[in-house]
Amino acid sequence: MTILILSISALPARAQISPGELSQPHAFLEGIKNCLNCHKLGSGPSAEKCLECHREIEVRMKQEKGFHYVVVNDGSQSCFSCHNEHAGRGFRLINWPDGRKNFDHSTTGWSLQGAHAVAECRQCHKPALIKDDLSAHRSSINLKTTFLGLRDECVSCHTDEHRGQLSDDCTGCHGVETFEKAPGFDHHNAKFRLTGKHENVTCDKCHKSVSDKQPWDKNDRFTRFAPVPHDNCKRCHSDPHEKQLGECASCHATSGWRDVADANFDHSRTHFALVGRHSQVVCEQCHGDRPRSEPIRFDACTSCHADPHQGQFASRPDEGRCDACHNESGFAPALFTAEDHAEATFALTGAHLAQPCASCHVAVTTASGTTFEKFRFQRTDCAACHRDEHHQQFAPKTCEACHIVDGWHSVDFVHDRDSSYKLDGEHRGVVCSGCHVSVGADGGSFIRYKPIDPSCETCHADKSDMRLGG
Amino acid sequence: MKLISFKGFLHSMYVLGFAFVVMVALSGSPYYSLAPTDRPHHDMHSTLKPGGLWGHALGIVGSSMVLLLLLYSLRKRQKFGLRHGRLSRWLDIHIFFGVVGPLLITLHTAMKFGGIVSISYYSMVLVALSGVFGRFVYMQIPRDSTGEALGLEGASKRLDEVRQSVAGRLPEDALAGIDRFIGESTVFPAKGGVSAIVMTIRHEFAMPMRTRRLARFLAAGKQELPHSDIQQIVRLAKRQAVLIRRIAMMDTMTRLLHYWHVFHKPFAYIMIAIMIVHVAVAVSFGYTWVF
Repeated sequence: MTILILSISALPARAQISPGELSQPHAFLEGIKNCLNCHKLGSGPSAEKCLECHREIEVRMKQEKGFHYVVVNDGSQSCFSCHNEHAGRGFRLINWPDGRKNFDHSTTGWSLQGAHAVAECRQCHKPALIKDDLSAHRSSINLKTTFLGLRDECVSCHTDEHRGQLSDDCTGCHGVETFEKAPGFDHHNAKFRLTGKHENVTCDKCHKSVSDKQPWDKNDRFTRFAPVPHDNCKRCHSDPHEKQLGECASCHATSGWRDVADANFDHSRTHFALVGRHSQVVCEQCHGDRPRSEPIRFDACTSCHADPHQGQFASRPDEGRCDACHNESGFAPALFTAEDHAEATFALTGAHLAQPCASCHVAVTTASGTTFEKFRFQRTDCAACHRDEHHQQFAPKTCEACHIVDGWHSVDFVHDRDSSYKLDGEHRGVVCSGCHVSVGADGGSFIRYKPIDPSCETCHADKSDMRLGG
Repeated sequence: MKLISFKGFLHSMYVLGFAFVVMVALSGSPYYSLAPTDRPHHDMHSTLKPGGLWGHALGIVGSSMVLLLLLYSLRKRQKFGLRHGRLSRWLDIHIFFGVVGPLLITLHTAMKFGGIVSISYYSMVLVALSGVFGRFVYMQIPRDSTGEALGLEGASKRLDEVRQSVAGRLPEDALAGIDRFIGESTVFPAKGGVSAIVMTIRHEFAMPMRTRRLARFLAAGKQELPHSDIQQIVRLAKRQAVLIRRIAMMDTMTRLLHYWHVFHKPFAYIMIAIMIVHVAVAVSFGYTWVF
C-alpha cells in the first residue's frame, strides 16, 4: 500500500522538490531541472548564480558602484536578504521596506537633493534616460522597470540648455533646487568680467535667445552664452560716433557711457582738435557738467567764448570771425597788424603807428554796464580821439590844417601865410611862446594863439620893453 | 524515592510541549497570518520561515520526535535489543512524540504546504489523527498493567476479580442495584467495526449518567455507606461494566486494530520516506541550520 501511495503521489509530486512557486520574473526557472541555476550544492542559494544572469548588477559590483555594491559590500546582506524566492507568483521580488518614495537614495551613491528629492522615481528612471547599454549585459532586462542605467552627469537626464556652450559641470553654476537660477555662476570668472554698468544689465541684454532648429527638441531655443564676442564694445553697443573715434574703451568706461576717461581722450579724433591754449583748459570749461558725448557747437569761437568786442566786427565781410585776428595761442596779442589796420577804415600813419592799440581803443562801459574795448568809431577825425589843445581858437579849422600825423609838434604852419599877423623885423626871431603865452589856470590853461590884439601894447607894455624888439 | 511518577512526567511534558507550541504560534501569528507572498518582507521571516533559525529548529526537533516515535515499533517487536520498559510507557512516549512532533513540524512549515514534502506532511497528519483513533481502539482491548493484551481468558479472570471485590463489600440490596447498573450497561457483541465503535462511544457517553444513578441509589440505602466507599464501589462497578463491554467487543476491536495498523503504518512510511528526501534535499542545498 505504501508503494502504491508513493507511486500515485510521485506523479503530481514530480518536480515539486521546490518549496514554493517562484515569483513571476523567475517563473521561467520553475522546475526541478533548474534548481542548480540558482542554488549551489552544499551552500544554498548563491549570489554568484544570481550574478550569472544579472550581469548588469555584476558589472556595477565590479565597478564598486551602486546600491547593490553598497548594501552587500559590508557583508551584512546578500541578494536573498531582500530578494527572497519561492513565495509565490505574486511575490514582489523588489521590496521597499519604507515605501518606494522613502527610499534612501544616498545608498545608491547618489543622494537626491533639491528638486530631485520630490521627483517621482519614473521621472528619471525611464527608458528614454537610460544611457547604459543594459541589454548588453542581460537581453531580457525590462527598461521600464529597472532602476539601473542612469548616469550621474546632469546632461544624462537633463537637456543641455546651453547646447554644449559651457562646461559639462552643470553644478558649477546651477544648484539642485531649480535650473532658473545659477547661484554658482560668477561672471568675474568668465572671460568677460562684468564691471560698472554691465553689472546691472539683465543677462538677456547680452546673451540672446537663439534657435538651434533641432527637430528633436520641442524647445529649440537656447540662450547664447558662448561664444559671445566681446573683443570690442561694438559687438553689443551701437557706435554713435559712426566709427569715427575708434575704440570705445579708449574714452569710455563701463561705469557709464557718459563717464569718458578725460585724461585719455584724444580730442584730435573729434572734429575739434585741441591746440594752443585749448589744450590746456579742463574739459569742464567747454563741456561743463554735461556728458562729454553731448555735442557742443564749435563752428564759431563764440560757441564757447563771449565776444569781447560786443559784435563790433559783425559788419565786416567775414562777419567778425575771431580767427581773423586771434588764434588758439591766446586772445592777446591779436594778430591784427598795422598793415591790417591800413586796410581798416582808419589807416595808421605817422605817430599813430607808434601808439599802443589801447591808446585809441579804450575800454568803454555801456549804460548796461558792459565794458569793452572800442573798435568801432563814429568819427575818425582827430577830435574823435584827441583833445583840442587849442580850446576852439582855430575853429572851424581842423587839426590837419596845421598838424600832421607824424607828431604834435610837427606843425605845417607858416605864420606869414596862415596868420593874419605877419612876422617881420625882430618878430621873426622871437620864439612862439614869446607872443603865445599860456592863459587860464590849472587844467583849463592853454596857449593863446588867437585872438590876439595885434597892437604892440598887447605884447609890449613899455618902452624898455620895446627894446626887446630892436 | 521517585521524585515524580511517569504519568506526572508525561503530563509535564505535554504541558511544556503544548505551551511551547502555543507560545510560538501566538508570537508568530502576525507572520503566519500573512499571505505567502507577503511573508518574506516581514521581520519574522528570517526567524520563522522553514529555513529560519527558529523555523528550521522546529523542523529538526519535530522530525526528530517523529523519528524517535518509531522506536516504539522496535520495542514492541523487541528489535535491536529494545526489551526494557513497560510497553504502555513506550506507547505513551510514542503518543507524546506523535502529538507534539507534528505540531512542531506544522510550525516548521509556517502553514505553507506545497511540493512533494506536503505529501509527507499530510501523511503525518493522517498518521497522527489515525493514532488518536488507534489509541481509542487500543484502549478497548483489555490489557494488563504492562500493556500486554489479556485475551478473553485473562479478561474474564480480571472481571471475576472485580466482581468479587465489589460483592464482598456490599449487602444484597446494594448488589441488586449494581446488578441493575451492570445490566443496563451490558452491550451485545458487535461484529461490524463501525457498529462496535458506535456502541462503544454510546456506552461511554451513557456511563456518567448511569454511575451517578448508582451512586444516588447506594447513598439512599439503609447501610448509610460513607461517601468514599460509595465512590469506590461506583468506580469498581464502572470498571466491571466497561470490562464486560470490552470483553464483548474484544474480537471486533482486535480485528479493527489490525486493520488500523494497515492504515497507520503505510502513511507513516510515506511520511518518513518523503521526510528523508526533504531533509536530504535541504541539506544538499546547504540548509544545515546553524551548522
